[in-house]
Amino acid sequence: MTSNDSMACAVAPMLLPEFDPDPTLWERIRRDHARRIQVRRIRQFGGFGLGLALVAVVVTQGIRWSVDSDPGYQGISDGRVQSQRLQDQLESMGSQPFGSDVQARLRLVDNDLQAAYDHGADDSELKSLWALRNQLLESMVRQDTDHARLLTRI
Amino acid sequence: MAADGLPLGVNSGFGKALDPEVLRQARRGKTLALETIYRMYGRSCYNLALRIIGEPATAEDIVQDVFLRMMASISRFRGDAPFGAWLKRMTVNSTIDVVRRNRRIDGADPEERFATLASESSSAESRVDAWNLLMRLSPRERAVVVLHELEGYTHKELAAMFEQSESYSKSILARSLRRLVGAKTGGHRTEDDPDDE
Repeated sequence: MTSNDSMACAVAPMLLPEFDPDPTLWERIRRDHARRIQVRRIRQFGGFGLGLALVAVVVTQGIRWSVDSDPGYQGISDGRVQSQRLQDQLESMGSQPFGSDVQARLRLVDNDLQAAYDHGADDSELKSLWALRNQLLESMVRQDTDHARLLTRI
Repeated sequence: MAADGLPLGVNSGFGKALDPEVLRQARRGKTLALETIYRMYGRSCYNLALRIIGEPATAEDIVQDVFLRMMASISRFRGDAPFGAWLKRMTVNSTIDVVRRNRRIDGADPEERFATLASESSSAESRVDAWNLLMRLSPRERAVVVLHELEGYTHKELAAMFEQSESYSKSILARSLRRLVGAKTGGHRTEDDPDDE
């Protein structure tokens, strides 16, 4: 007996009843589909926002890295560090009264530096102002050292 | 005719041709077109799943899963096969997945079921109809019977779906049909069936 013969006398295909699914089934499917689309959009939007934030961070960081690695900026940075080092050195030696002309010149240079930063001066201008300031500070350190030597000799 | 070649008379709903304009609209996600597709094929999906699973709620879950997957992938449907055949394949795959992973539905091992069926009362045989006969088999057995006998799938295709050998589905089919014939006629299984093992 072949399987088709078996079916003819057992479960005849045409005898099998057909049933209707629940009438609300399509509505359930439609709602679920709409919900999934909404979730997908939220994820896409969230992903887009996250991507945007990442790009912003990378760009900002990139600018910072490029500024840090720029030779002009490096010169300014070095000048600033040296200036701070000299001021610390002066303070550690004990504040000595300096000549009014040196202090006046230092104040002028500081004013020029502030003005240069305010109007967005280029690196070479800033670098030369920091160098000038450091020269003045070095001269003050030298004066202080000479003064100390004189006192020691007396 | 082959399973995806359509049709075999039963589940002819899958053989209905889909209007290209409806397909085009459905690809664009138009709800009305998607609903039209559901109205055309939803009942066939449901009945195919129900014949195998035997539980209306689970069959509805399968239909829901099939249509959600269809909606998500219809934009990639190239039209190489008839739309109904594509949807039917999705329904079969989804139903077989449920049978394979759900031990509760799959029930006892086919061998055990045959043993218990042999001891069942035969007084109900006179009033049993085709549906009840089919429901006396386990979902796995029904899957083989329905897909091979009613939907035209080959043993090779069934073997691939169940990740078993061809002899596995041949064996289940032969035993299932013998049992169905026996239940219908009130007879007992024939021991010299050539398909047996």
